Amino acid sequence: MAYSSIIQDFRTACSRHDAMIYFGWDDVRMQYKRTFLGPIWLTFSTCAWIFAMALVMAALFGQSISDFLPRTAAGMFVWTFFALSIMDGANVFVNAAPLINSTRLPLLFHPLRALVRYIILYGHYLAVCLLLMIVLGHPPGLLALLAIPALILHVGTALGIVLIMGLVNTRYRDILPIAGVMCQLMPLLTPIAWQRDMLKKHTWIADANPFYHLIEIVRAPLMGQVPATLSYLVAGGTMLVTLTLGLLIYRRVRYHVIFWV
Amino acid sequence: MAKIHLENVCVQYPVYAVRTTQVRHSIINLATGGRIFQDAGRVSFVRALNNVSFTLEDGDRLALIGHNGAGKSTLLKTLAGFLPVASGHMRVKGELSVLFNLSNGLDPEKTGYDNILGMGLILGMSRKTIARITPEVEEFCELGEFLDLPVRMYSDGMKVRLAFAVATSIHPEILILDEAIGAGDAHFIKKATERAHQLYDKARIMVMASHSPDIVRDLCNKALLLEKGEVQMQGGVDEVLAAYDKLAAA
Repeated sequence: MAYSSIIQDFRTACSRHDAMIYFGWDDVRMQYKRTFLGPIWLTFSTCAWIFAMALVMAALFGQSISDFLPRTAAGMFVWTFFALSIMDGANVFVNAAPLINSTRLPLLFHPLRALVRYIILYGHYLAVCLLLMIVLGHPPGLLALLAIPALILHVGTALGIVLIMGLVNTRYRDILPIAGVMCQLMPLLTPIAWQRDMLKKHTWIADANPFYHLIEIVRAPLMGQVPATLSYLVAGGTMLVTLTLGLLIYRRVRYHVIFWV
Repeated sequence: MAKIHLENVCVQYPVYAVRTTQVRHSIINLATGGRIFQDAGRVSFVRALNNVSFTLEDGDRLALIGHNGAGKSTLLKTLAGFLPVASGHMRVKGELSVLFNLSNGLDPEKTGYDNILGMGLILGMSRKTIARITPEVEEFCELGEFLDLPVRMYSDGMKVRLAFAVATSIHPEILILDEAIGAGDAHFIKKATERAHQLYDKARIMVMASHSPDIVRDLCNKALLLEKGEVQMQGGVDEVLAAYDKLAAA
């Protein structure tokens, strides 16, 4: 398959943006259908994790919780966006099997529809995060605007991840349990409820983790700091690598997907 | 002008043994030089279409005839662009729509109106087109105020009416169907047949698979007999149906 036809595929899929956005929202609405608290449930379990971790960690390291809580929240919410694109992204084609087999929706429609949903959920998370910061007396400053280009980087990376996970998992279904273990460990391995400097001599544990840098380029501006250049480089590199890999896999297996779902 | 041209088209399905769909075997394959699990890496194929050739132009209504497993659905899915052509050439000129499953996108949790929107979007309509066809769908499905209720409150017959009304709102140049579409209770069936005929008549080219000789005679002017993925015969409806009867009797 030629590279130009990948672009053509994206164009065809994007020409269905009406349907993509409608169903992206629809998938979110389905999650809070017939509940009283609606959107609050979307962030509920993550919030519970954040409060519990911030409470314990702040006590362990003798720091103030009003300082620790927003940091933990920002970090965890960014991670949740990526965890979603890994775990849920793995099933984008598998779940769309009936549509793939009987409609003319372009194949890329399905991952892009999922991505729309992740972005909407990300919006919910960021809103909760900003609310927390304001309530705790640390409203974000002007520097927070630096987070906006970082969010674009996040969306690009997530698209790459969804393509990789979705396509690979369609053929090899046991990639999902492997990813499940990884997603369980990541929030502990990544400086979310703790800070990089606490590693002292072992800061490589954080520096070698692309998710640390992806989190940092959004979290640092929200906390009123300028992210390290290294973080921008690693985050940008991660986006390039995941997107390229995703598109290469797509180019290779695009016509096999219908046989696998 | 719409046109479909197939020349020696072959389509094949890969067959994956259950165990080859697991990462473990690929890894073992590498480790053992692919000897012990040699068959794990080899993919065999079922050839579902073999050297299929035909040309369709404006006004052609083609019926695909053949036993189960003869390749009818595979050919429909190939024309629709779902399945890749393994060898040969296929050219499709004209805006094409498929109706394989009328209730694609029907969501029981949403209201009738929301479902008109959702199903319309899946069929490829714009929001503007959907707004235009909504009154027509309302009138046709006769569901009245039920359209404001969630579809899970509907009877099966009511669901079919709604799905049918939306699906038949499209007017493509090339229409691909799996069996002729029929719908609902006795009162409804005459109305539905009329509406389906309008859809068929507006299409420049229609291709449908069917087991019913009556439907084929009624709706089609050409027929193609498939047997084990190969074209046994193509031509006028009556002669091909006669050949199919002979084949079935043999």
